[in-house]
Amino acid sequence: MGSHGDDDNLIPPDEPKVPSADTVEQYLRLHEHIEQLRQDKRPTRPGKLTPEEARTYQAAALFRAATPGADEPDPEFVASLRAKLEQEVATPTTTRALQAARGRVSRRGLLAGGIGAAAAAAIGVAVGSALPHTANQAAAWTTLINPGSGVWQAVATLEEIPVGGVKRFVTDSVVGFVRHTSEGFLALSGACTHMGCLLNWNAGARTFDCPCHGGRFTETGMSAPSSTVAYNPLPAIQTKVENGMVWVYIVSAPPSDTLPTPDGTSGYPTR
Amino acid sequence: MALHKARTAENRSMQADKPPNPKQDSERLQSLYEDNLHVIYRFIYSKVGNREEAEDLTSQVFIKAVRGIDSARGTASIQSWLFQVARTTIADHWRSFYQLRAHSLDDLLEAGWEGPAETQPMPASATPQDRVRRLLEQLPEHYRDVLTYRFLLNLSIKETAVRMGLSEANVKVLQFRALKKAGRLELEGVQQVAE
Repeated sequence: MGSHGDDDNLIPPDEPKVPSADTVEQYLRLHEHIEQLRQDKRPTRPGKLTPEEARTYQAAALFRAATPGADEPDPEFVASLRAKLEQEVATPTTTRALQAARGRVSRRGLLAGGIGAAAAAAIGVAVGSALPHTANQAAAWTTLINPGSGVWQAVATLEEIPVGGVKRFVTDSVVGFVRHTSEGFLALSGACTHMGCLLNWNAGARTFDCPCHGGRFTETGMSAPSSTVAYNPLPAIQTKVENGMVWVYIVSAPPSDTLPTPDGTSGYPTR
Repeated sequence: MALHKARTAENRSMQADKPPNPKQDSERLQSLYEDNLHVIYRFIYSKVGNREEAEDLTSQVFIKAVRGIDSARGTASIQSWLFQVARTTIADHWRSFYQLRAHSLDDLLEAGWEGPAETQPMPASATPQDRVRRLLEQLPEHYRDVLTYRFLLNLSIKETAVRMGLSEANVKVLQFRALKKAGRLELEGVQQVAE
């Protein structure tokens, strides 16, 4: 960008030279953007734009769509999305669990689910307790469920979580978070290791905050410096990527008569 | 005991609003997907202008659609409902991409938005190619030329510069101004339709 203040040289001969506040930076930024579109690449964010600038970028997208052949979907994409959707339809657990999470289950019912997650976390503690749990030993917490005793469940599509993104998921047995990190997709239990209250993702501070007693966990699941008390780290949940989906390894759904009921009482044995 | 009763009621109501019928689900998916994928993909592409994001957002729209297909019952047409899902998906995406407030997005979304057409098929005039042609007709000649070379003919800055007898820097300025003007014309078009 060495051409600062040299704007006049850039202006085509028959263009008005004065009545524009456009800057060289704006020309170059849009140019970069157009080149990314021409390569069919996800463009980098242009930063905060005014509505007028956004319309300019929109016009670029529209004109790009008019490049012959550009807006034709890739057959491979068409086929893979269809497979994903068929799987979605054929996996009643995903659909039903998500619908339940959205509509039918009350907040108290979800808290009851959190107690279930805490119970699962307790198993993790038992498995991990033979190992010293220093702050950098998150790996020790990964064996939450004994191999063979859990099930894989799809909780997100690859596309829906950008790198750095976090998505909450709810299954019949566990509430948790999937994170898309530079190392891939990682999952954590979403229940506070103190009393099992359900954590909220705080996108600003990038922490998991507990609404009950001020517990806070970093995005990797370690107790955050700002936590009221340094609680045990959040158990990690095993993940895999398959068929365009992120899967988590969780305990099988409890038999139906132990499911949380809509009135908020829990079917889990009390201790 | 009271617990047991409540649960039975819950089971019953679940069965009432969701008769499990995998075959029917799969047929509905078939018509949802086959009939609409291309038209939704192109609509989204015309809003983002690149394949990566278009594939991403299209996947999101259809996954949301499959999960919420029951809520589409009673909608006049699956297609107009899908367009609504696409619209909100794009709005969410833009909100973070352009860092704009929601109300500034409305004008952008109105352009090329065929949702209210309800049961009618998409008007042919709504394709990006047609909208672009209409815009080109309204632009001054050198703007029309630079956009034609850059987008319709997909030429590089260098090739465009040669054809137009300008420097490469000139072409970058010209394409900026041409798109800015085109963006304004689109907005005016939307506002006229709304009146």
